[in-house]
Amino acid sequence: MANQSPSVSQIAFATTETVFGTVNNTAGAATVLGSDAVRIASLDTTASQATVKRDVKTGSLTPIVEVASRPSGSWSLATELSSNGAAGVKPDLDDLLAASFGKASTVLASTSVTYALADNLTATPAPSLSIFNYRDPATTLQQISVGSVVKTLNLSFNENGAQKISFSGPSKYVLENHRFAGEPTANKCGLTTFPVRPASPVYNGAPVLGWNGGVTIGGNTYATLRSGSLAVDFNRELQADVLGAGLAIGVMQGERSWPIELTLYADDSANFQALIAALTATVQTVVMTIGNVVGNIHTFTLAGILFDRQSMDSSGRNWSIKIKGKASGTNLDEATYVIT
Amino acid sequence: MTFRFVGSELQIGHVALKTFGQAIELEPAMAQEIIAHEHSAALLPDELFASLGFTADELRWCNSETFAAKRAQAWALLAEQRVRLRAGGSFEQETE
Repeated sequence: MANQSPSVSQIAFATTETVFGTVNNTAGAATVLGSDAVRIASLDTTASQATVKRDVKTGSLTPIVEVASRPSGSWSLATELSSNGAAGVKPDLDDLLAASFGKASTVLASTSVTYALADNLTATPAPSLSIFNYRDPATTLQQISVGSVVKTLNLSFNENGAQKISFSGPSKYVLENHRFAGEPTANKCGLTTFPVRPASPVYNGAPVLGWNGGVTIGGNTYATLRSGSLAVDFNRELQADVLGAGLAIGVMQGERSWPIELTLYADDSANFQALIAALTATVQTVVMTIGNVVGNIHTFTLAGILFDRQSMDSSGRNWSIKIKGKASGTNLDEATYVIT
Repeated sequence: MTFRFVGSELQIGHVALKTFGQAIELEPAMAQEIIAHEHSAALLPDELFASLGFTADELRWCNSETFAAKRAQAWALLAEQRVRLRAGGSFEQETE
């Protein structure tokens, strides 16, 4: 009897590619280790290759068989926000975060890991990832999303338990074990064999809990934050429209977008009045901190935000306000993320 | 070889560590791979961990100032250990 795979039986690994669209390898064998594992809530790696209707007349009312279009892929991954657990050590999500911000994180040993932005307009292209999507048993469908770039990063925070972070974007190609032998060399993305899953995935760190956090807006601390969200669009797409290449050849980028939305209780404090007065009038910096355990404190700093006027929210017992804005800056200074 | 856990949560295959100071037996080659990695597992050799002098109470509650100070030392040792291992060093060097 054929084996099926339970949907919870899924293990992911992510590695930063040295060359866009090529799985890091030694003589065709993928370089992927147990410590490259990323704990996931969900992972979709989607191979896209539609068939296209042909625009010809055959003299019959019977449709002629369609032809395959250029292959591509996409991916999305959701998980808990967590650190390594030891301060100053890169988290398991490091490859995804570095690919989001555009460059490697900066480590201050036993103290912090910092993610800052890079445009990658010259020399170094935007980082790309190989995302390994394994299911059990090994004989079922296995996939590798190669040349995966981060287009969106979503983070939501609230008082309920573990906080969620998700990433998504396009990928050059999604390799599959069942099709590997028949793939042309270019589509094998540097590999000569489809890699076996590392036997012992290693996961570091506990999730950060949402109720241990706080926010400052324009230098004032607000203890009445209920929830918030960050929905970053890194505006990256793959260059997949050139002749002579069956797959995408690189990454293109546009202006980033950093929308943030915060929900706070409304009150009559001086800070709250100052916040309302500043909406649409004063550019502000938001410092959002999640977690209070050393080694698992996540601080997002978004600068240059001119908030829209608030909307009122009566979904709770007491009135709240929702405020929305977008981070801005002059050169790579609109956002940083630090784990301490 | 015995290692002690100095992080918040670690899972290696089907073995989960959730308690600071928890012991685990690992083959040196496996330990080298997961500790030298960019996402270093927070593990110190038993002797090195013992040299920090955590008391039973400190490990039980994990919330005193003396615990925090010793944990910071553990993380500093972890960083040094990772640098040494990535440069081709071994665990034996640091416990000599």
